[in-house]
Amino acid sequence: MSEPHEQSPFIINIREGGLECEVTVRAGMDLESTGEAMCLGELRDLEVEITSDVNKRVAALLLLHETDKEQEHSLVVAQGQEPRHGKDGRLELNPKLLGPVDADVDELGCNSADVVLEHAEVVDHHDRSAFILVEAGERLGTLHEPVDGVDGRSVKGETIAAKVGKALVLNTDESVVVKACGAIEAAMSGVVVIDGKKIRVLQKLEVHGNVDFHTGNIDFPGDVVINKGVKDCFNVQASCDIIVRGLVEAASIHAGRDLELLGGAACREKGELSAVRDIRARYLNECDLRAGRNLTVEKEIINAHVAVGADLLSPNCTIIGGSTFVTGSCDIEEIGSERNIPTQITLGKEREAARLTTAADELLEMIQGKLAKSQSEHDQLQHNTSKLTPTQAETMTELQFEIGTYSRLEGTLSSAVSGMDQAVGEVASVDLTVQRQMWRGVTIVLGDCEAFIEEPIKGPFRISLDSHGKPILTDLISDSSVELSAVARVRSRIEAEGADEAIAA
Amino acid sequence: MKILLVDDSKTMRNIQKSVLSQLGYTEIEEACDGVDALSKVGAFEPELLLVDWNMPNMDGLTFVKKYRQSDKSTPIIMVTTETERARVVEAIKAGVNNYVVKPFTPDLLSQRINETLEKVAA
Amino acid sequence: MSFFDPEILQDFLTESGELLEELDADLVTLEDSSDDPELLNKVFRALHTIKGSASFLGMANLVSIAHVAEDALNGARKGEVVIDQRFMDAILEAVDILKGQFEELGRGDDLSAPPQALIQTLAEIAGGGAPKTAQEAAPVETAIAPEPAPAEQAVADGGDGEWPRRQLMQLEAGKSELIDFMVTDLEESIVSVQENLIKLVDPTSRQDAALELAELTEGVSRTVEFFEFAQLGTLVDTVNMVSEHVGEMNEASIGQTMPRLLAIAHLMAEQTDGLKIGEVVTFDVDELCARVADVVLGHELAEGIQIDANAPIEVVYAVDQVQGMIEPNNGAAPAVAPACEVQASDDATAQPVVVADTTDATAPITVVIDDAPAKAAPPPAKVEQTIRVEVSRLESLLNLVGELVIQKNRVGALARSISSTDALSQDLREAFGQGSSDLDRITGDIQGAVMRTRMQPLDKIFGKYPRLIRDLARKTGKEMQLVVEGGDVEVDKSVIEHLGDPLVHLMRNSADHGVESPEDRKAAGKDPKGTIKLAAVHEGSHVVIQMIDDGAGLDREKLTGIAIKRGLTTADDAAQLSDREVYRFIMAAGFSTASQVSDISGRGVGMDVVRTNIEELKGTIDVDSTPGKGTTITIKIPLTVAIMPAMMVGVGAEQYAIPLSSILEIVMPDEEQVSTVHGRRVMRLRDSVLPLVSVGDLFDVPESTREKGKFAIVVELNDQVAGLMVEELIGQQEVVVKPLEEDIAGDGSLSGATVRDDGGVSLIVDIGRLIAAASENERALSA
Repeated sequence: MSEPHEQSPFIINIREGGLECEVTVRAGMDLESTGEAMCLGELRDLEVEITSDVNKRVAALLLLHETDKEQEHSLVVAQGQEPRHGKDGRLELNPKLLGPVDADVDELGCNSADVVLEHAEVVDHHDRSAFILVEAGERLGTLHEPVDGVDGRSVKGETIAAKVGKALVLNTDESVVVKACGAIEAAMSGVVVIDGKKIRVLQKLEVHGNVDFHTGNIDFPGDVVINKGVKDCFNVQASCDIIVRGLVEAASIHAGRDLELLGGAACREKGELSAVRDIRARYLNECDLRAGRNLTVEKEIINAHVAVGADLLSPNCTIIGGSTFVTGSCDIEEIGSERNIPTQITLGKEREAARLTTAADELLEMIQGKLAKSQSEHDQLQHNTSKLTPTQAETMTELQFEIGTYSRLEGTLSSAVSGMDQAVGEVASVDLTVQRQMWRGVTIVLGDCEAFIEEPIKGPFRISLDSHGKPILTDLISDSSVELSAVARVRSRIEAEGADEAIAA
Repeated sequence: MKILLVDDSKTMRNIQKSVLSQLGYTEIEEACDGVDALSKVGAFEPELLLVDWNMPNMDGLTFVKKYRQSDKSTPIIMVTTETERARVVEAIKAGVNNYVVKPFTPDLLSQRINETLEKVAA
Repeated sequence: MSFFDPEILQDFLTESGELLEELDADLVTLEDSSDDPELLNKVFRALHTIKGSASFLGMANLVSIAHVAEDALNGARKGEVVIDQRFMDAILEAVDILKGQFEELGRGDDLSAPPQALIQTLAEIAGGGAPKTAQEAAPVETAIAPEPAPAEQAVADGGDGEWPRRQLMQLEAGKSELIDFMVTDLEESIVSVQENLIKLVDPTSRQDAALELAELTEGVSRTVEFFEFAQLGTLVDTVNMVSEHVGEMNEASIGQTMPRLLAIAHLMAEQTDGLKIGEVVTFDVDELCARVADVVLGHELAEGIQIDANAPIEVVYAVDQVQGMIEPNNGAAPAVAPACEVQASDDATAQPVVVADTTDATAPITVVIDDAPAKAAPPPAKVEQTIRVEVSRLESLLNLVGELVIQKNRVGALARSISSTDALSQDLREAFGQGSSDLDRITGDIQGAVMRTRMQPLDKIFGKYPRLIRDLARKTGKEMQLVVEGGDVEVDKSVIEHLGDPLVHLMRNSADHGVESPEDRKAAGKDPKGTIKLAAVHEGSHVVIQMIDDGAGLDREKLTGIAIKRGLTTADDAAQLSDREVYRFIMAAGFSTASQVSDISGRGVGMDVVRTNIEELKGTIDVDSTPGKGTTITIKIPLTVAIMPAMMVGVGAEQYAIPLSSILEIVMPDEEQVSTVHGRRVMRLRDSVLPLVSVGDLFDVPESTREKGKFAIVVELNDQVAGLMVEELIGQQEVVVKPLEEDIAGDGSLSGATVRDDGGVSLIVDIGRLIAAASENERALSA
């Protein structure tokens, strides 16, 4: 630090982190012609880069000073280049994934803690994400590449480094595909789970709590596991299996494959439970249930309407009240109760299925009739008329259209009817085994007749049809058979129906 | 694909609609004669027209001639009857791209629609 | 080949030669944008025309190669052939062979046969899409070659056996049931078309006929489209196009079109007859329709094509037939016939056929006449026609115009002084003034027209370079692109002739030595594709052509090393040299830096040729280079035809001319605006401060005669701005630039002199050097 000999006419101020250099010419200085050189010299001493622009500005400043020496003049003589910082790579989520949460979360990683349902006792990502269902190929978001910065330059010509944008590494698994363009897509249908920086699509939806107002109805393309119950009036649907660990109240549940009700179901005669394949339940109380294949119940079926596509093999289960259709074999501990509760068991071909078949047959017949009529009208018109009038041509077109429509309908319907017949026929059998007791009040429908149990029958026994189609009862201990009519009142259903109709009339 | 059906018979329009919906075309507008059609083409901007020849008020041929004054390219399929067969060339000269003679089967109609659209796309 | 009429051969060489040049450029563009159908069509048409003309002249060897190339292109046009590297290579090679054949023709040599291998390749490329394979193509050449009069032979057997083609008609059910209706309708329509075509010739009935034709053809066009008869459609659409544009056409064009249209109608009738018996008949009509389209769209119809000159033979036949048909009973036909013979009889002045050696001053050049009022028969047409005149005649015309400009300026001055005296009556003064201004205008027009005759756009040579660069890139395995700017800058013909070769050398140098291999470029952080930019711009009385590459740049050390080795300098001297002086070594004879001599460049003679050629044009060449960034070569060439607009200014008793093109504005600065900083006079103009130069001081005009400068003329060149102080503004004038002898030009602040309208001499200020000098002073002062 050498002491200043005299005050410099210039005040040089380098500021803004070296991005700007301002020169002030003190008032009252008489600089003559040396001013510019002096000023540039001082700037050079401060390592300011002297460009032609700086030259010009200094000259201009001095010109300004010349014009009015009594004033102080300032001018920014050098300007650096601010660095443009790079941007980090980021993930922009499809707005749908932000779901009902109205927090302004659009980037993962920084605000992931906000990606949480606010209330509910279990604050868990699953609860929230359970409702972001996506289909395979659906866009989940976009992964933005980092943007490189542009270095700046100070007035001294030094480089001011720009921040380098960092790439965001997306943490995921094979359920999510990142395309070259940055698009993020679901590789499979399922539920999107965003957990910290990890984004995945799960094909199994796990609901930790109840299905209730916090979750809403569920319609999921995959498996659903509900760790608690399903509350009144909620619907749960899944294309695969559904497991409910808690109690099912008056709710509707439909499983595309199997349904497991580990806690049992008490539906108070509302709602419907169904599965395309098997259903396993702890108990069924006042339920309307359809199992496409087998049904297994651990404890009891009480006042329920149950239809089973194949077997009901539950040797520890009691059926009390309601109606039960079993197409295949049936193995039950006890049917009915001491209080003689009316309980109906239908064995073999389900009656409703039979009705449907009949209805379909009728419909088919009607369509075939119409088809024939259109066809004959069409043929008549074609054979008897050499030249069609415009009206006839139009009628003809209509007829051809009808013929086309009807024959297509006929095709679909007849294949549906025969498919149904075949499916039922394969498993239909009369085979009821009761382990302990069948009480009075039980009605058993088998084939063309019904049997009213008027005295309790002790088990274990088996009811089936003999080679002539007559219902027989076989004691499983002695292995001796008697006709069912020997132990119960048996009547023909056709007669019964005729009687019913007579009463109705 | 937006399709305008011009026919005085509701039944015919329904038939055409049904054929079209089986082909996957559902954006359909209907007009009951040439005058009605002319009033609808502007707003609807169809991409295909099925036009009946015989209609009250304004027949199909007149409609095509008028329509072609403003629109040269949108494909038109003319629905005709045997009586007009000799005049089909007249319709073609007026700018019809294809035609189908009543009576026709739904298959024939869909075939005509497909071949017309393919040709336009080519 | 002696049986050719030399004039026809010359026409062929000129027309087809130009087409070939264009082809070259278009093909290179096509390689990059192979999906451009317009371009593909253009290329196809060009080749087709060349083939057509050549076959008319019986040049079998030329036809055979053009034919297969055309087939391949046709395949591509139809989308049957993919435009890939192999395709482009083969087509370009074919064009090269055609060029070689053209040279042979020009020398009067016999045409050499094209390589069979290439014909084979092209035929393979054309593949299934083309009807011919090489084996079949071969007989064509022998078929035409021995026939001295192909036209007659062709008429005899109805073409070369290809046309017309007959195919069985195949229609789907919905269409075949209508075909009879269609044929009847078509027959009626064609009769009406023919009737209306004849009416079209008569101006009084033209409008009605055109309307009727338009309606007729529109209907037929739709019918034909429905039945998918492609060629019939082309024919109808051609007639339709004429009917819609006939109102804008002049009699000459209509005359050119009408026989062709009648031929078209005839072909339509033939096709209809074919349809009647279930045959689809096709003719070779592309050219016929294209010609009609050219005329209708106002394009130049290649010079002097008589209706039967270049048209395919069967069309000639058809035309003859049709004309014969209508002649006996219709007066319209004779009106048609003379109109088609518009071929310029001025061609008598054409030079004997010698293909231009570019340095030959007597070489014929093409003159475009925009306006031809002298010709009574055809009114001003959009169709440009060309005649040939000797360059020496133009030269003298040019000198005369220069004189005329000077005289005109004198008359102008006279008119001004007359208008301010009372010596003459008012009427006389006004008349004189009017006459003077008319003279001014007409002189301007003449000057423009004459100047344009010698000027040619640089595109004429620039157009060849994309192909050059493409080939160089393929040969060297580098990736390069050429960016051309300023191809429309017009320069004197002699400049074009002298610049062609130097630029090729420079470009080869850049491609070979400058642009690095893609790997090296990548390693250096550059785009692997090198760019060579060729830019031309007018700068005052000069044209500046820059060739900029973004290659490795020149290596000073290496250059000096070699220069010393070659004895061009000594180590001591070399150290003293500036970079630019070192770079100049590359222009010395026998200098080559490429470690390996390739066949592209590096033999060390090229750059010497460059320098010599440019010096011959009195131009300068400058090399600048930044290691690692690239090299810029700047060629500056004075405009020989130098009539330029200038601002005449007065300083004392002297007058100077300042080129108008460099003047930004003229201001009268206040005292406050002007100040002296460090002994330099500067002026504040809005936000900037610019140096002031006193023209009087600069040229030592005696102080005694001068007043203080009042006007500051703000001039700009190369982004540098300065103010010139002058005392008087005299006015804008067009001055004829006369070059100065070296010793007068002195320090270089003058670029020439001009003779004023009063007969005195004014000096022309060279703004570029003046600004350079001003900033030199600045630097000297600030140092």
